[in-house]
Amino acid sequence: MKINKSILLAAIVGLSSFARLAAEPLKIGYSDWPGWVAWEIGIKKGWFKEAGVDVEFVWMDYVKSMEAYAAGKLDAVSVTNGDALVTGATGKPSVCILINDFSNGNDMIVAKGEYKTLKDLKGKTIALEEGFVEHLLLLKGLELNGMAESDITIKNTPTNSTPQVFASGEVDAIGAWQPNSGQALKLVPGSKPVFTSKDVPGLIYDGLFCDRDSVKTRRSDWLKVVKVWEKIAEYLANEDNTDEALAILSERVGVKPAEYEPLLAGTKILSSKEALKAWEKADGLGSIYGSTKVVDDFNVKYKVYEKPADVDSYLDPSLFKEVMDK
Amino acid sequence: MKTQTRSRWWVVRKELDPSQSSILMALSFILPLVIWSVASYGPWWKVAHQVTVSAESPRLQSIYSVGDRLAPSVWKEFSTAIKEDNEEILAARKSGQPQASTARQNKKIVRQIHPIATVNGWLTREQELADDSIRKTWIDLAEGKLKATKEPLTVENLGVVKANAEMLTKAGTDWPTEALLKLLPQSSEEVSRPVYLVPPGVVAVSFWQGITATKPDAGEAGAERKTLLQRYAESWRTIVLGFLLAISVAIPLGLLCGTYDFASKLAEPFVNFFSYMPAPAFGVVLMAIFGLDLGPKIMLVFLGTLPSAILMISKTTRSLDGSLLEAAQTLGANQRQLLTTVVIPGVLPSLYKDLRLLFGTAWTWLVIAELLGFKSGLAEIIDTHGRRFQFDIVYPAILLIGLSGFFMDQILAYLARFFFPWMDQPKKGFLSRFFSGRARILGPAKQPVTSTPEAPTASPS
Amino acid sequence: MIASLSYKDQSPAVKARFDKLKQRPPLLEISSLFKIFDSKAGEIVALKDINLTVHRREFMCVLGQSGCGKSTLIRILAGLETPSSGQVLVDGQPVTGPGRDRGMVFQSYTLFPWLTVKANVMYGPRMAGKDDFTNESEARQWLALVGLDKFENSYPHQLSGGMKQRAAIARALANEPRILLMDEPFGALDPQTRQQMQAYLLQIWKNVDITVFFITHDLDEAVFLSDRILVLDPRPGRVREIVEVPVPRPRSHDQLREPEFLATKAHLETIIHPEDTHAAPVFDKLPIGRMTDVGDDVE
Repeated sequence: MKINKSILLAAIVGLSSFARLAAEPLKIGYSDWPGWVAWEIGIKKGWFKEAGVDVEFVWMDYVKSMEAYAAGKLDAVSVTNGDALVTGATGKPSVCILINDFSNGNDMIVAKGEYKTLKDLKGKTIALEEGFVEHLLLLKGLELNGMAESDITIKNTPTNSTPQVFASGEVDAIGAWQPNSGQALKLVPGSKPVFTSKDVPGLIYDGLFCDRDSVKTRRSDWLKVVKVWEKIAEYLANEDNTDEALAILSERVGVKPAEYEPLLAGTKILSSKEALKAWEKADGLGSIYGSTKVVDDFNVKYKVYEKPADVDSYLDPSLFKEVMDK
Repeated sequence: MKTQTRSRWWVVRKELDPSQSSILMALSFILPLVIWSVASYGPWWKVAHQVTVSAESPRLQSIYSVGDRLAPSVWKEFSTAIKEDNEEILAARKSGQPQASTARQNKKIVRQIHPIATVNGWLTREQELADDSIRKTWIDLAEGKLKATKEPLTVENLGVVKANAEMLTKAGTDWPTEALLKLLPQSSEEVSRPVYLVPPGVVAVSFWQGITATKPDAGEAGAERKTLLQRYAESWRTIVLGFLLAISVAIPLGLLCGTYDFASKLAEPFVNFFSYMPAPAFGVVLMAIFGLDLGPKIMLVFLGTLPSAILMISKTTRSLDGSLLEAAQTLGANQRQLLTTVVIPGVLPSLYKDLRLLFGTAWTWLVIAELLGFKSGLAEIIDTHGRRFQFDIVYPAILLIGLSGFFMDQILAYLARFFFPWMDQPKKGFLSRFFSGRARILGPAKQPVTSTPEAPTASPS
Repeated sequence: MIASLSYKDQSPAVKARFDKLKQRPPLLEISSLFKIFDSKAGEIVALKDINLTVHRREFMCVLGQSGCGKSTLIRILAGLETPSSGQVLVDGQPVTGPGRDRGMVFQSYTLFPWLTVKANVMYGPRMAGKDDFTNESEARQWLALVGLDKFENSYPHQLSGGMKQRAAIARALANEPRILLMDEPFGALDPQTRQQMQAYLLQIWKNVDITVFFITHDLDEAVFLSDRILVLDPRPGRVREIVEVPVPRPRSHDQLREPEFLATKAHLETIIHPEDTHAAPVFDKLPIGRMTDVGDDVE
């Protein structure tokens, strides 16, 4: 009970809001996106300890993790490049030091059986989390299909509640990522994805976005984190490890291993070679710079926030490159 | 009681005799249970297919696992898709250009036999990924060395087994490079209830497994490695700390407000206003101030309980019989003595009752509180498993909260008579009534077991 | 018939007693006392120009209908309310608030329920900071005086109404006040207990150096207990008459049928009118029905 008392005391005086000591572990928020669940491999296998870095991974709902980051409770948060801009514009800016993956089908707009394409959803209701990644995906999809946001009605729903909302039959479609979208598909017989991130590969990059000061002051620690990630990516690329990896990943989100396997295909985890290419400055969705720029323009156009962001300040390939050079 | 031939049940504002009361009090729990049972076990639920042998197909959006319950239409789509897959494979073989397949794809097909092999005792549960044993099972089965005792394979599937076993034998220790045939889905017919309607039997078993589990969430999906009881302890910690914090502020403030008009006028209007702002609305703020761990949870229980606690305690204090204060004044008590020797001892029993009620309401904040920041305690189970529609796990957690609140209140009510022997015998709580009533039914000669020990009588102690 | 006897006729013994009484020093002096309450309907005069002197060891009752300000008067004496004007002196000292020199017994039972009977009796001395050893032995004596020595460790809720009021009297006396203010203390008791309590009270009064100021609306009680009766008129509350009771002491309930007693009571009845006289039932127009169609005359 001694610990409780001290926690209580801390709660009363709000000590926790004071500056963290350097000796504290790096606090990293992560949520149920397969590319981030992959951190679990490093955690379970003790690779962080091996690398000599003290990290604490905090499992949270996606939006809550962004809120926690904005409130200064996390040193880094796992988000998409687009949502990092949103969080930066409304809460606290961050900088990406590593790319986990790009979404390759796991972000979906799932519609009831009677709608064959995104166009059929004209005038219908779609449940998704407003202002965040699935919203972006939907808007992009509408644009590609020559439609406008006003053609559909959006119901703001937390992503991990979308399966239930979809199952209730009150909406015609949902926007969600795996495993939520998969659950939705399973719950509503006949439903299918009408638009996925596979249709726009590279629109959604998923990365580790860190507190900018922390990257400066604790660069050596962050380098170690990047190194562990490269080890995880390498591990996942080897098919011999698939069974073990699936067991670890699926357990984290409460899905059966066999059901989790397809999710790995929908999330393109980047090998170090692929990552190096994505870090190259270029236009278009093949580069995280190009992708982030596209998303930024998009966000401004759709008034997610007012002013364009300084895209370059959100991206810092130097740590990744330093690890690669060694 | 012999003269009373027939007790009447419906009399306006008249208490029933103890045996009648006990029967009704038992019924008040039994009736909902009966309704629940009838609803779950009644003959009105459609039949669904519970998968016993599964398969995967690119034709399907979803992956169905053994144990899933499928509506007839989905089942049809599922079986048809696999059948078509097999037909394609056979057609390709016939044409002399067999489908190629990776080792992993074939491995997965072969592993699909594991669940039914477990049921029939050919493999153990742990051998899920033991590919060599699984391959041996296929071959043994094809050779007729194994016989299904519990769950037979269909004739079609035995054909698939034979065909695949041949290829597996041919490949030796390697995996065939040609696509194997898939086992056709099999299912048993099960009652298909809505997911939220979990029969009482299942909940009872799950509850029992939960509270007796010594290993953290054994065999359960989800990485949160704690037992139900550990979570339960977490919930208690949150609620007790939040509640203690709230009352340690509310009791002094409430006493002041109830005693001095000055304090009342200064504090109560705002507290009253504050009580209309729902505590959960401050969740985000609490996380920003107190972090993500225990802090915001305790503070939410604190914030939720505090305003009503202050208002309730001040009202209780104000309702203290004024003539007691006047009597004390005529006996020479000064202002300070009035507070310490009359107000405080005078309100204690009502205060205790208030705290009991407040503790009850504190439970209502618990679930919201535990979802702030890092989820914890019973609410984590309710939230996480609720989203996965695993209501057989959700209900025991909810039940545990309900039972805790209920019994805590009953116990505190019962203890009051020991704390305040100078009170008139308090109206007996449900528990003591129930048990004393039952004691009377079971053994008429026996003294009611829970009757109050007589408060100290005339004899000097 | 004894109709000729007036309540003013006092036997020589009684007369001598009153002469002696008036020789004693005044203990309570009330002069030109007014109490005015503000209400929505305007000012309400609760007490108007009350003047009264009560002598040491006198037993004084206050009688009057409801609304005559009896309770206001005793509360002013206790210091629980302040007069609008006028003065109250106890033992020559002006009353400014509640004080130990005036003990009070209320109609509602005001024993502290969380204290034993003994602790209740010890309450006053404790507040005055006296040492508990003395307090306890004195409390036992007071309880013996009111016949509750066997109940010293009981809690109030275990006592009957009469016992509670006896304990309340002991509690008031333990503070050694100069005057005992009693606000309809026996009002809630049943008639038998009430008579017992009256006898008890007179016993205590006889044995203790105390002046009693007793409010009641019961004529028998007033005549039985008091030396003098202050009769108040209602709305505004003012002194109607101060009656000297000609019933000799020591008193017993057998005296209830004696001529002095009856004469005094008859007089009090004439000066205390019941409030409404206009509610007498009208019998000439009865509702027609089985119940009012009376055949034979019972008179």
